[in-house]
Amino acid sequence: MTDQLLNRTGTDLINTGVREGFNTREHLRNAERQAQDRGFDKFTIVDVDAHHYEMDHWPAIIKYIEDPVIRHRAEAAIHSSDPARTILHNSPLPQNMAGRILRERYRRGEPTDGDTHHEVSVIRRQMKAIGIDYQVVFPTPMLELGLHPDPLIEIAVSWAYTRWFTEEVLADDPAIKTMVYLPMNDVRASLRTIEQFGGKPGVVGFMITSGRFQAIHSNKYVPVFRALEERGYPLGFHAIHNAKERMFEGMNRFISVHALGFVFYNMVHMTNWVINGLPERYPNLKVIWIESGLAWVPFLMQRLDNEFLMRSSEAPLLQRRPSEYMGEMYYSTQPMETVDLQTLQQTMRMINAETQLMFASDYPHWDFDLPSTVCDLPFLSQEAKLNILGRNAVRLFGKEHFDAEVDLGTAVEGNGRARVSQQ
Amino acid sequence: MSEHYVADLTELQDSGRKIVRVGSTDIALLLFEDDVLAFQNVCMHMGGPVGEGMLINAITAEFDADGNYVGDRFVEDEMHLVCPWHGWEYVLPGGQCAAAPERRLRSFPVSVRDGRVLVDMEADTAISNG
Repeated sequence: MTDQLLNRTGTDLINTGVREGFNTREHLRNAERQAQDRGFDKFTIVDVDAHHYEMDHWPAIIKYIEDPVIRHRAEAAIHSSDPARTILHNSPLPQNMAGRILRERYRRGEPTDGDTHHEVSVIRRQMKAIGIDYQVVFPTPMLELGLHPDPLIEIAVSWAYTRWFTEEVLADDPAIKTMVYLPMNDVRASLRTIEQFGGKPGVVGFMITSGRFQAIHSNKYVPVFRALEERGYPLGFHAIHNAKERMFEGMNRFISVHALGFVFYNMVHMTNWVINGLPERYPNLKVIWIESGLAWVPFLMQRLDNEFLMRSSEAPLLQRRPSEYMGEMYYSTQPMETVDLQTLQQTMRMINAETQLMFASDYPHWDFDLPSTVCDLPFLSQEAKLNILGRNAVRLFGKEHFDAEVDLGTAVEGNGRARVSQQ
Repeated sequence: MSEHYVADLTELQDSGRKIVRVGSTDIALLLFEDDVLAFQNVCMHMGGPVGEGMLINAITAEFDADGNYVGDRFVEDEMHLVCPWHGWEYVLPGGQCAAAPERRLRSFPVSVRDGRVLVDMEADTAISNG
């Protein structure tokens, strides 16, 4: 019935979000107008969490898998209808709302700019359109690798992906960055990853995918955290959703699993991180909580503070309340819960947003945000907007990763009102 | 009244819709049940090109006589326009947001005279946000 309706209404001609074929720049032309209207070219915007679809380059990636049997299995999967399905641990739920989010359907045919790598072409287009100067890019389905029942798959595929991304993509454009995937199901492999990719151009930190069940405070991870702290690299926890999570088995809708899943795993890791005193044990290790939005943080702060005051004997390493440690960590904005601005304002106060919050688009995923999500907020100062949009990320990752002339700006122009969706 | 000629009706009969620009405003023209609709091509959520999104029936949940949920169904007489950026849905022909009916896409009165589609730009019906 759907196709019949589409044909009847003639949407075949203009149902791509573009006029003639899919092109990211054209898809985002309204964002480009926002960027021009708000003068985003007058200051630096750093996007600390964007994505690409690594499965579009599956053959280019799997050639770096070192284990010949796993590489063979991955090669065989190329010929299946979904190359990733047979080797990765994917969710069957539809991110694209059964085709409503059109870019996922049409992006594969997007042209490349001359000899430029396809990923570089597309990432440059999305950055230009949105008004982003630097973008930290993460994979998409590979974020679920931490749940794979075979840790050797996580090691092999993450290693191959990172070689491909650092050698074939990041090398082409210094504005594109990444935080390298740590295969935390194996400590030795994680240390090898840090040794190999630390210092590579474009590498601004390392990342743990939050969908994993091993306790983050386990003694076995001591060498990993020490290695990161010694090298001054921040550690990101990138959230995921997981329809196979035991408690989510009764959830029949993507919206339900996504709404809870993207905070659930980070809440568990944050709780273990704080209660077991890791901020005291690794005081110079900067931690970022990525793609969980913000609303969960005040909730957890209140829960942990309240219980800590009664049961401080169970958290003997803590010198302060849990919320104080959490207020010194870093958070990415997206997907920022903007429905109730008063609540959002309180949230930003509690997380010390002016110094700890960093803009993230999450583009091209279905729930991406634009910089206007931040710069149109009526309660933020100009300084706070500049910090969130770029300065906090430059300070955290280090100026050495950015142009010497990085322009941190002096003014941010909102449109004078919150978005209609925020009222 | 500030009417602007924006398309020939035959163009819409061929393709179902057309994106035009009047001044600095992008307008999505949609042929819907023999009427021509004109919306600003800006989603109320984050400014996406809403007029270029999917047209699809509303969805409702269906229950049997005993109150048991039996599945989701298309609503035959309710069509939605879906923003291709994030999926915000708007009810046609009025342009009300399906999840928040008090909000409505900015729309413009349309006249069709001698096969020419005219849009009145001074009579917009709702404030949108770009």
